[in-house]
Amino acid sequence: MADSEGHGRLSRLVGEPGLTGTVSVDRVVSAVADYGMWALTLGIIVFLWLPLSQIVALSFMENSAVLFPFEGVTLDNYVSLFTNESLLLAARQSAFVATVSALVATLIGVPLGFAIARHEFRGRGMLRGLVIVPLLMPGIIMGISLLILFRVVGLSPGFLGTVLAHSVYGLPFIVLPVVARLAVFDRKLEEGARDLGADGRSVLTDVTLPIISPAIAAGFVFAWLRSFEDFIRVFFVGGTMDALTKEMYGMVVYSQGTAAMDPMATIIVLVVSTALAVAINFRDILEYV
Amino acid sequence: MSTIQDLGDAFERRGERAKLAIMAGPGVGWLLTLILVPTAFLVMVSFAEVSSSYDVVWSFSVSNYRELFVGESGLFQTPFVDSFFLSLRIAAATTFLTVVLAYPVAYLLTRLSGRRFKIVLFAVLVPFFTIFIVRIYSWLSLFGSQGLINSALLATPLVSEPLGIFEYGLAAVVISLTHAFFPYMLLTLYSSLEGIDYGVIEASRDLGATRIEIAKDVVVPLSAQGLITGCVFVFVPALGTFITPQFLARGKFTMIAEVLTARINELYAINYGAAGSLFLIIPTLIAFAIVMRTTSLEAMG
Repeated sequence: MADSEGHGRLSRLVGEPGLTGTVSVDRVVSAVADYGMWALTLGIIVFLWLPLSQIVALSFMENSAVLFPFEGVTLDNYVSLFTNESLLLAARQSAFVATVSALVATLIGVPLGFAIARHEFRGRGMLRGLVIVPLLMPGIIMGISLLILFRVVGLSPGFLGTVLAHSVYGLPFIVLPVVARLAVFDRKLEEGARDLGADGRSVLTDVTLPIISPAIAAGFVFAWLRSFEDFIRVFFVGGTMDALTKEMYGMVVYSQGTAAMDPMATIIVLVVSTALAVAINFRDILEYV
Repeated sequence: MSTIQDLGDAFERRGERAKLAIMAGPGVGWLLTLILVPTAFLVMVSFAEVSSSYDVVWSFSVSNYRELFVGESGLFQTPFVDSFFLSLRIAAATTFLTVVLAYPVAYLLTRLSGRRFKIVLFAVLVPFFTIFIVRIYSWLSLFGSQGLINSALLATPLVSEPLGIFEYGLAAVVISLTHAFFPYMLLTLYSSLEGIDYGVIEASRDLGATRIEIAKDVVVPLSAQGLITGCVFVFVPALGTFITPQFLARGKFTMIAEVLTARINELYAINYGAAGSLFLIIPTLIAFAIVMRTTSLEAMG
């Protein structure tokens, strides 16, 4: 497609031989639009990369607050990160909350996805709507409303409240890919397995689940990331429990001591971008976003 | 015989129902107790009062709403109203910018394939490479009078003092939100543009439509669904954002989430917070209605 377009672009620019001698307005518009689109895309790529790449650069700078004046390269910021016990503890805590929340969301969400995709029942339409609400509901509303709920039922803020909040927040990221995958699932595969003598359980474990498992895995990753990066929900329902985002927020808003912030951000950028590069290369990630 | 058959069917139906209850039950329970019930409480508490021992006193009064809208200097002269309209404007500007930036890139992506496609996709998903708080933080050292942008400009002979637009404030908030939410818009637009049969575009070209006519009459209408969904997924979170103005407005103005959070944090005024957050639920409900009308669940995976 790209090559034929390139050729088309050229021929449109010069005018097709033998047809007319003049370059039509539309052809000029086409060529300008094509080049304009590339130029704009390159500009946007610069805009998107600039902030994160300067964070990576800052993480190696003597003077970690600003790039100028340049005072030399150092690993001191990384040392201050790895000696910052409370930040590391908060990162581990957030990873733990994210793992538990994403697991709960997966255990609840996969069967719910099957029920929505494969069963007719009363209230199914409403349920289909309800499933996307955690995705659309602003974090502050989920945070305040759960704070009130937990207050009324007497659950004190902390780990349990955060896991409850994050597991329902992550639910759509599991249910939606599962429903989408089951919608295009060829049920003849299951019928075939059954005709060949497989029972219901082995059809599920040997045929259905392996086929939809990439969708579940992608959903798990998104649910995990959403929990890990959440600030406002954990701010309201986390109580005194530490979280990486709360720690980072405190560093930026209450103190200027952000030396550990840039290396932490750099490590997160490296881990996530590597994962994403692998995902784009090996799978059509857009199917599951 | 037929009664036995009926009985068997009934058992099967009951078995089917029990199976369905096991499958859907936990998820439905989760959504009811952690989404619907809390929202109902939110509405109730917005009409209630909070005692000095921070307990909810169930009553019916509109004093929380009065506090939101009636200020000392008159109706609608309150920090809440100011922040609400400012937040609406910031969210609208962010949505507009993401559309303008993401549309051409999404269109370009549909026309690329193979290696080129993967490279461009990887390059434009970069804000996804990290977590939201880092995305916003990454603009912190770019803005400000000593920020990278102003320092770079001051190094040129064109500028003699730091430019106001690159100070912390409105531009910093809108630009960082645009950066942070760009991938949402891009991906929803891409998936709707990708669904357009390229043959339709070629056919319109063969029938003599100009490039502009094709864009206006074919591409935009056929991708309207993705456009609307993308707008919703940018507008709603931008409206309720807390971290962004905290980091990048630096006290110049407050957005709605900051007003509510401050009241709850400092005064434990969850009744005031509840009443205020209902005004964030209204846009959410509108967004929900739009998404339900335009998008099927199967297409949202």
